Amino acid sequence: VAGIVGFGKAVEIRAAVMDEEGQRVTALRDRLWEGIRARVPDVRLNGHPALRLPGTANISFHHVEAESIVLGLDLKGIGVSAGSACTSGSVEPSYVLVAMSTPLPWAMGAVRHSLGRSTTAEDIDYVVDCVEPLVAKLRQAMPVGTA
Amino acid sequence: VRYSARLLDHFLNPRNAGLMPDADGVGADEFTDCGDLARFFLRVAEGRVQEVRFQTYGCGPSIAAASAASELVTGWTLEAVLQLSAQDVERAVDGLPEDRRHAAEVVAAALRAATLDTLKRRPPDV
Repeated sequence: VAGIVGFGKAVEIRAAVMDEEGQRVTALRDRLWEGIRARVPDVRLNGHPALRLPGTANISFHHVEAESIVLGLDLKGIGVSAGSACTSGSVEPSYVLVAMSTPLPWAMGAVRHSLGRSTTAEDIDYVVDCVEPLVAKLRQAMPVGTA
Repeated sequence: VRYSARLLDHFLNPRNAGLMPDADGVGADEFTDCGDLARFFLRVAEGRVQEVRFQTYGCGPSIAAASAASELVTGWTLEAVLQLSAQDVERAVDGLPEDRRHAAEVVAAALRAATLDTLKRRPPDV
C-alpha cells in the first residue's frame, strides 16, 4: 500500500511540472543539437526535428564508429549510448535506424544522448565542448577521415 | 575498469595516426563480423621499419591497438613483423577484454599484410 500511495504522489508531483519541464528539456535538447551541428561537420539528427520526445537526441557522426565516441565521452564523465554495439565480435546497427532507412555508415555512427530533470545548460555546453575535439581526433585515425 | 590505463592513453592520444604518402608498403585487414578495419603504411630503411602510420575504423580498443602496435614495430626487421601475433599487440595495450580480442587480430594481420606488400615491392636483399 505504501508503494501505491508513494507512486501516486510521485505522479502527482511530476504531472504538475510536466509541461514546464518538457519545454525546458526540449530547449536543452535543441541547444545540444545546434551546438554540435555548428561545431562538428558531417553530422545528422536522426528522427523528426520537432515531433519527438524532449529528452533524447540521436545524432550520427559520419566516418566515426559510435562506440569510440561512447568511450571517449565516458572518459570525460559523460554517459551516452551507441546506436550500435560491438559485442562478442559482431556489430548490429540500431534496427530502428535501419527501419528509418538510415544509411549504414550513418547508423554505425549514431549516438543517443539522454537528457533529464537534472540536466543543465552548462552540462549541454560541456558535452558540446568535449564532442568537437573528440570527433576530430577520431576522424584523423579513420580510413575515410580528413588525414 | 574495463580497459587498461595504457590502452586508454593510446585511445586518447593515438600515435602515428593518418596517411603516409609514398609508403613503401600498405596493408589492411578487416574483421567482417563487426566492420573493424585497420590499414597500415610502412616506410622501411635497410630492412627495418623506419616509420609507421595507420588508419582504423572501429571501437576504442581498435584505435588503441593500432597506435600501440605502430610504436611496437618501429625499428623491427621486416622478418620480425611478419611474425607479429595478436598476442604481441594485446600485450602492447596491457591486455584486452575477451570480446575485444579481435582488435588485436585485425591490427596484427594488417601489419603483416603491409610487411608482405613492402617485401613484394622491394625485396630485402636488393
